[in-house]
Amino acid sequence: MTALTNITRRTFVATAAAAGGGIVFGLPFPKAGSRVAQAAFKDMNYAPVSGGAEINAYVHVAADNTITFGCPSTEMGQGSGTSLFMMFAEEFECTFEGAILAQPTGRDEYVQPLIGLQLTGGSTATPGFWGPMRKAGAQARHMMIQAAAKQWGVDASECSAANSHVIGPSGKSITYGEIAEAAAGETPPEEPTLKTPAEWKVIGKEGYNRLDSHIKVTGRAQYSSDVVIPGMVYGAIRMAPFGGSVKSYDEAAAKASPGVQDVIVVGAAAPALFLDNNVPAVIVTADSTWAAEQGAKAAKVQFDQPAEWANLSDASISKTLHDGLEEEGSQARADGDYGAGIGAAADTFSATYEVPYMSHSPLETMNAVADFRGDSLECWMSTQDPGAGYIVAEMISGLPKESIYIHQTLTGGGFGRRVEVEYLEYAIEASMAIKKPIKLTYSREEDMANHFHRPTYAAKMTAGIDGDGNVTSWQHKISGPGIWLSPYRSSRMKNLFAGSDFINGQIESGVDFHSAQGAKDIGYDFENIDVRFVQKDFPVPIVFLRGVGNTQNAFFIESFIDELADHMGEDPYELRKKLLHKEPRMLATLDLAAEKANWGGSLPKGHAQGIAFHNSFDSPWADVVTLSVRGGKRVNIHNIHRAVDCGLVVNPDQWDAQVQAGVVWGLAHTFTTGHSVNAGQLQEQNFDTYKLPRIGQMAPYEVHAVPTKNDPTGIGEPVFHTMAPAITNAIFAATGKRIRSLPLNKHGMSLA
Amino acid sequence: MITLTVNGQSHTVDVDPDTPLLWVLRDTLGLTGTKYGCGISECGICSVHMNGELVNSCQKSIGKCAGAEVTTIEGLGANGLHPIQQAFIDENVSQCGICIPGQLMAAAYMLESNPEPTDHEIDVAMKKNYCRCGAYTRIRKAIHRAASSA
Repeated sequence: MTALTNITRRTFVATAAAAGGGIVFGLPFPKAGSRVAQAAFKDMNYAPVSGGAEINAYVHVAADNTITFGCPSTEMGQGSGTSLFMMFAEEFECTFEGAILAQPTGRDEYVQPLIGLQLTGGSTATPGFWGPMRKAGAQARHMMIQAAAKQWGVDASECSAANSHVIGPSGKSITYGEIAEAAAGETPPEEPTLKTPAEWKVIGKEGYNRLDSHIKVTGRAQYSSDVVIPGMVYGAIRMAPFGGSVKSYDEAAAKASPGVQDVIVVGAAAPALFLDNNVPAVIVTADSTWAAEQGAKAAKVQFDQPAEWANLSDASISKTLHDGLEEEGSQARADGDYGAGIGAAADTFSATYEVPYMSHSPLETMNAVADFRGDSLECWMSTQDPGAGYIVAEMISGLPKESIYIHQTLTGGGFGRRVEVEYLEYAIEASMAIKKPIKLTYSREEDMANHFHRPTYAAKMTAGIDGDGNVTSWQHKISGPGIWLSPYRSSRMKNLFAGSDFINGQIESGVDFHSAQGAKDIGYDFENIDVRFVQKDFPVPIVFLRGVGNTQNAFFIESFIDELADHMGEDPYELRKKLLHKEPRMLATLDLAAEKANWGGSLPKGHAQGIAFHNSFDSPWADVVTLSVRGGKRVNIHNIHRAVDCGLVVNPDQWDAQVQAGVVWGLAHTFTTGHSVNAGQLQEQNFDTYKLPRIGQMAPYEVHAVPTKNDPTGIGEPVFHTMAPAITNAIFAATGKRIRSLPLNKHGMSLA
Repeated sequence: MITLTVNGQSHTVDVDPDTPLLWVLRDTLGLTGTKYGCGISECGICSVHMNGELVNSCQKSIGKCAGAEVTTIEGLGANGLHPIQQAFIDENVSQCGICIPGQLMAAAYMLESNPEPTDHEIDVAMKKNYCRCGAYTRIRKAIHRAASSA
C-alpha cells in the first residue's frame, strides 16, 4: 500500500466526520494494477458498502450485492452517470435500482477514447463509451459466471446471469456479492459477444431513473465547494486580467479583517509550458469563505492592465472584427471555384452578423480543494477534466502522478468552462505556500468577469444566385479570436496536443478548428463554397462553450439562409429542403420539425413561425418556433417543435432533459447572455445584469426523434444553437425586423 | 455569540455578526446543502426557511438571526422525504443539482400556503430560483405531482 493510499483513507474517514456524517462523492478507485480487498469504490449514498471486490475499473460489487458504478465521464448534470451505467448494466445483468454512482479518476480505463484524456466534452461521453461500456459490462458478467461455475464444478456454458445473480444448473443461484472476490481473479474473454438490439432490456428503455437524484434532493450531494477536510482554510481570490500583473495590495488591511490568516500571490511564476499568459492572482485565506472574501476586499488589490485592455470596448471590438472581414483570411474550405461562381452570378446577396463574449456561468462558481503534504497531494474538484487536473498537479507540485490523487466530485454545471482547471492550479500553489489544505472559491464576480468566455465573432455571408434561381456560390467569412490560435487562453490544451496533426494543421492553415466548426462542414449543397477565417485577438480569455463554434455559426448561417430565402422570394423551409437534397438524415430531421409544427399552416393573428436547421456532432437538428411580438419589444413564444437525429437514444428520459435544457440555453443565448465591454472591463459581473431565463419564461416545446438504428451521436452539445436563429427568423416573420446580432436585450427586446 | 436553531438543533456561533447566514450554515455548521451562487439575492440557490418565511440566506446577517428558527434542505425531509423531494426524484428533475436545494425550499414554502398551485402561481412563487441546466418544465411538473400526492 502506498503512502498516498494511507493518506487518502485517513482523509476520507476524517472528512466524513467533519462533514457531519457526509462522505465525499467520487472516492478513489485504487491505482491501476493494485487490488484492494476492501471496498475501493466508496459510497455516495452513505449506505454501508463492505466486502466484495472491484471486478474491473468500472464496477465494484459489495458483499451485500450493492453495485457501485465507476463512471469514467463527469456527471455534470447531463445524465452520463446514468446512461453509461445503462449500457454497462445491460451487459452486466445487474440490478439497476440502488446502484451507486462514483467518479473515479486517474486510470487508463477512464480516458475518453475520442479525446485521449479523462475529459468530458464534445458530446463524446455516450458515443465514445458506447462500445467500451457494453464490452466491460459483458466482461464483468463473464467473470461472475466463470467464478460461480468453478465453485459449483460445472461448465460456465451451463450458467447464466440475471439481476445480480449467477444462475447455474439444477436451480443453483448465487449473488454477485457472494462470488465477487473470486470473480475479481477471473480473466474475462477479450472480445465478448454483445447483445443484439432485440435483446436489450435497459438500453433505449423508459423507466430508468437517474442514479444521483436522491442525494441531490436531500442536500447530501457533495460538490468540491462542499468539501471540508481537517485543518483546511478558506480562500478568496482576485485575478489579474490576462497578461496583467499584481501592482499592489494592502496586506495589513487584509490581515486586520476578522478571521484572515494569509495573503499570498499565486500564478506569477506559473510554468510557461501551460499558460501563454500567466494570470497572477492574490489569494486571501481565512477561517470562512466570507471572512476570506472580506479580507480580499480590504486588500484593495490593484493590477497593471496590459495596454491593449485599456481602450477595449464594444465599439473597438466590433470595428476590429469587421476590419477582419475585409481581409482575405485563411481558407477553411474550398469547393468548386467561388471566385468564378460569384463573378458569374446573376444576383449576389450579402449580410453581416455578430455575437458577443458569453460566459458559461454554471451556478457553482469555480473552486477547488488542494492538500499538499510535501510528498503527496490530494485534490478535490468539480471539473470536466480530471485528466488536465493530473497534468497541472504534477507540474505545479513537482510530484509524480503516483503521489497525487484527484477526487472528482459532482459538478455544479460545466458547459465547457470546467474543461479549464486554473482554479486547481491556484489552489495547489496556495496550499504549497501556506502549508495547509485550502478550499478556494471564486466569488460570482471573479467567476463571471475575470475568466474564460465563449469568443466574440463577426461573419460576412455572401451568396451568388444563377439565372435560374439556384444558389450556386456560398462564402462564409468569420473573424474573431480562435480558441486554439489565440494567446488569450490557457494553452494547456494546446500544449497537451502539441505536435499533433490537429494542432499543426491549425497553425499551418491559419484556420482555428472551433471558429470554423459548423461552417466548413455545412450540410447545404452549393457548387462553389468558400469558408474563410481571420484571427483577431482581444485580451479576454476564451474557452469552449457548449456547442462551441456552432453557437455562432448556426446563427450566422441560419439567419443568412432566411434572409436569402426572403431576398429570392422563396419559402425558408423549401429553400433549406432544396439545399439538403443530398443529405437524407438532415433532410428527414428538417422535414420532421416542419411537419410537426405544421409549417405554413394557418396561425392565430399576430403569430409567426421561424425555422432553423444545423448539423453538429453528427446530430442533425431542426427547430420551428412560433411566437408573437407585442409592441415590437416583448416576445412571446407559443411553442417550439424540435426534431433531432442523435442516433440511438440510450436513455429517453435524459434525452428529453437535454432537449429541455437546450430550450432554456437557447432562450438565454438569444435574449440575454452576452457581455458588453467598456474601458477594458466586462460590464456584466453578476446575475443582476447578466440575466438567465426564469421559470415563468420557459417556453413550451415538443421534441421529435427521427427514427434511426444508428449508433448514438452527440446530444449535450447541439442542444441550443438552432434556437437563436429560429427565434430571430420568427421575429422577422412577425415584424419584418431583421436581427443580425445577439443578444436581443441589446435591441431593446425581451422575453415575455 | 449568537444562538439560533437550525433544523431543530440549537447552535451557538462566534463569528463576525455581519457574516451572512449562508456562510455560517456552510462553513461554521457544516450544512453544505445550502449553496452559494451569487451573493446578491438573484439566483435563489441559498434559499432557506427562517421563522416561517422563505429567505435568501446570503442576505441575512447572522447578527440578525439571534433566536431564529431556520430550516435548511438537510432538515426538510427530517422525517423521511418531503413530498416535494419525492416528486423531484420521480420526475428526474435534477441535472447538475446545485440549484435543487433552493428550488425545493421555495417549492415546499409555496405548497404550505397553496397546496394546489396553478402553473402561473408556480411561476410566481419560483421566480427567484435560477436553474442554469434548464429543468424548468420538470420543476413545474414535480410541483404539480407533489401537490396531488399531498
